[in-house]
This record gives sequence, structure tokens and C-alpha cells, in this order.
Amino acid sequence: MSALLDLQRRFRAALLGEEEQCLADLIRDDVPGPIERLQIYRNNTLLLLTEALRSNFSATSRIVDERFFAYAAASFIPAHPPRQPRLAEYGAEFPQFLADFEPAATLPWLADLARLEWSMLECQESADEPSLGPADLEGLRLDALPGMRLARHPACRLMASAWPVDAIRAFALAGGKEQPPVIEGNPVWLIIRRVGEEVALRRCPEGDFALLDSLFSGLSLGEALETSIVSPAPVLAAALRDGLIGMLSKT
Amino acid sequence: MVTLPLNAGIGLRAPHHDPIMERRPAVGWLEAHAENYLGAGPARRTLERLRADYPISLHSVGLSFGSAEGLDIGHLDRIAELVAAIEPAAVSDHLSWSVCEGVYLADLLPLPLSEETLAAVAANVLRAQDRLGRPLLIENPSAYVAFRHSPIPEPEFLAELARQTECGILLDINNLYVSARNLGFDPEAALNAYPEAIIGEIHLAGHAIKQIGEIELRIDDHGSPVQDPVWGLFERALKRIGPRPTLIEWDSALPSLEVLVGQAELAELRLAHVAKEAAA
Repeated sequence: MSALLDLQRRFRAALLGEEEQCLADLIRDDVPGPIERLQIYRNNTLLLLTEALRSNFSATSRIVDERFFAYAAASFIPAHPPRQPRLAEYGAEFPQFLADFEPAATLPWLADLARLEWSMLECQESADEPSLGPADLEGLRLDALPGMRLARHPACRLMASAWPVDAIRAFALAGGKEQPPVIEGNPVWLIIRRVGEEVALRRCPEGDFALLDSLFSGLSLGEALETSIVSPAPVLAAALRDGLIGMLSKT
Repeated sequence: MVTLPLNAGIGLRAPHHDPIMERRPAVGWLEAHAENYLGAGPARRTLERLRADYPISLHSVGLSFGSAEGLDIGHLDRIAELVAAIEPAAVSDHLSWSVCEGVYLADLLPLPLSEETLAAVAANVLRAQDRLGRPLLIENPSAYVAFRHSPIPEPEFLAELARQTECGILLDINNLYVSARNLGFDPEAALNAYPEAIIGEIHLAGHAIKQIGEIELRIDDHGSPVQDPVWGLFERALKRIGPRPTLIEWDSALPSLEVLVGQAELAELRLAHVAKEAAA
């Protein structure tokens, strides 16, 4: 193995949790404090990645104690370091990590709050593509309808949660801590859509959500209607109006 | 190689997007961290608007030219797409590494300056320049540790890299000073060892002083005004090499836009002074 690759592997191990001692034989010891100097790099990496998580999950980080978030981040980072140099896209696995994170068990909604923030971030960073509008459907033959497949617009996400995560998020961003109001028995079905620069959240009825969810999971219109409990016309009209559907593919 | 004006510019940071859009401060140019503008989100749209009014420098922090494993081609492609869209006046990254076996470590990590490292960095820089279709500027990073086997002095290493790849050098005078203080070499001598022709841009920033037991370390945190010894080195560098596009970087404890622009004005005064002397 090349000496450079060996050095970089050992450096990586030291930054993500192993003892700095593993690098000692590579560092000049006539300059005082070699281990303390290595710790500067280690602290820097941990600090920058923690800040990235704080920024990408701002409500999640603000609703818990600052030290708790730092502790969760310090546990998450070595297990899931970023795989690419773009920290605005760091933390895809963080919601699931929180769901499994024993110290967060007393805040069962915390992982869903993080999941909501991640979905909003994905909408925020998605491309400005045109959405399907009523005019695009003009001249469509009726017998083509059941076979039609509608795709989710890239700046749209659907999310169901057993807790009112949209209200919990607003509570957190207003400075609330750990005890959000009225969360038991209050599930929500959310449509997340970026409009201009703002990512908007809208609650919708469970049946409407289920219909959209089956369509966006790849079922044809005909297949989705077989299991739907709601009348499709108003749901689809609202989806077209709000730009939730991407342009039809030509296949 | 660099078409930035010989003026002072400021680093473009997200909290300043709105004030810059509203007030359009009189600075010579803006430098954006490429990795913060890769998505299609609002940050990218802001940069696309600002490029109409300011020369833009794209400064990457994630190409990891020092990686023994070579470049992350997916990342290089995303940078290339941004460069094609923004058409910046300069593109730069560092003499450092941050990626090892696909893991990004979010810092500009130090390299042993050896023949092996030179070959690896030169190959990576050539590949990036080939993909981007333009020469790059490579910046000297700040250092806290010295490697046992690092036989080539940094100015010599960068001069040889420039010779082999036809890249330019982004001379960060704060980094040079921080490294000199941390590792115990003479910053003036290091500064004078850089061939003037290859220096395409200068960086200035503030740093912190941290006492760890008996050891005093300079931490390159970009979180305060430029320190006097760094201004001094800047003045002497300008006297030797003439004016260069000069950036004020500020990242942590970000001040108001006015404070940042005030630092750029201090750099601009020194640039104007040296330009006047050259003309006289």
C-alpha cells in the first residue's frame, strides 16, 4: 500500500473515534504536543459535521437540549460519516438513527420530526421543473385514463406520521422545548411542496393521502382507484392545481 | 488564468445573501464555496443572480486533491456543471485532502510533502483541469501538525506543482502565518520563496489563539478581523509581487456585511497604494 494511503486511512480512523496514538509514529514529536495538535483536526471534523446536522435538522436540534443533540450527533457521525463533500445533503440516515437511538426513546416523535425536516430539505434542493397542469390533460382519451401513471413532482413529498409533526416543528422553531402540546392520538398526513423559495406544508385527509401515495408509488390510475376510499376527481384536481404531479413521461 | 480584478473581494456566505442582494456593496468580486451552491435550491438561484453584477470566484473545499485514491469523479462532475453555469473568473481548491475511501471528513487535512504526494496531487489537479477545461488555483492550507517524512518545503512543493500542471497558486497569507507560528518556521522567508508569477490570488482572514497547556496554537477559524502581523506580510508581499485579487474570508462568528466590507476596504487601500507606487 502507498505510504500516503496508509497515512490517510489512519488519519480517518483517528478523526472518527480511534485513539490519535495510531498516528504517533507519522508525526514529528520534536514539535511539542503532537496529540493535542491532532485533536484540533478531530474536534474540527466533529464540530463541522455537528453544525451541518444542526443546520439540516434545525427544529429537531432546537427542541432538545443542546448537549443532547451534540451527544446524538457525536454518536451518529462515526457510524454514518458523509459520503460526499456536500454538507447540505448530509444526514439522510439521521431520522432512522434517532428512531433507534435509545436515549431518545422518551421523545417518540423526534425521529418523525427529523424525517419531516429531511423531506423539506429534499424539496428545497430539488430542481425547478414544470408540473403537470389541467391543460396538459386536454385531448386525453378516456380509455387511456385507467392505464395512466402519474409521478410525484421532484419538489413534492408526502409524509404520514402518528404525531402532528408539522405543529411540533412550528413549536420547536418558536423556541419550545421537549413538551409539545397535544400530540397523543393526533396523526397527520402531510403534503410538502416547495413553491418559489418557500417549502409549504399542508395537511390532507387520510383517504386523499392514500390515493396520492399509491399513485406516486407507481400504481396506474386504474389500480389506485381500486383501493381508494375517496372520490378521485377533487383529489386529482387539487394535486394538479398545487403542482404535486410531474410532467407525463412519453413512454 | 485568472480574470478577477486586482481588487479586494469578500467571501459570499448564506447569511449575507439577502443584504448583498439588497445593498450590492461596492466590493470588487465575490468568492463562493462551490459545495454550497451545487443543489438547485435558493442558494444557487442567488448566486446566478449575483453573477450578473460581480465577478465570481468559485472556491471548492471538497475536491480533495491530496487523496491517494484519486478524485471523486461524481463530485468533479457536479463542480463542472456549476462552473459551466456560473462561468466564474477563477476556480480554486486546496493543497490538502478531505476524502479517504469515499468518506468525507469535512476538513482541509494536512499532507506530507513528499515526491509521492506531489505525484498524486499533480495527477488529480491535471484530471480536474482537464474536466473543467481551465487552469485552477491551489491554496496553501493552515497546518497544526508536521509529518516526520515531509522533505519538500511548501513553497517549493507548490512551485513544482505549478510547473508540472500549469496551475496557479492561491496564496493564503493568514494560513502561511498560522502554519509558521504553529510549526516554527519563518513566515517572511516562506513568503519570499513563492515565485511571483504563479500567484494568482491572495486570501486574508482572521485566526484565533488557543493555549493548550504549555503550547500556544494559532487556529485558522476565520472568525475575527485580519491580525496585524498578517496585514504586515500582505503589505510586503504586495511590494514584491504587485497587486493581486485579494479576498477577505470570514466563516465563524460571521459579522454584519458592513464589518466584512470594512475589512475589504482595508485590503483595497493597500492594493491601491501598491498600484500607485508601481505607476510612479
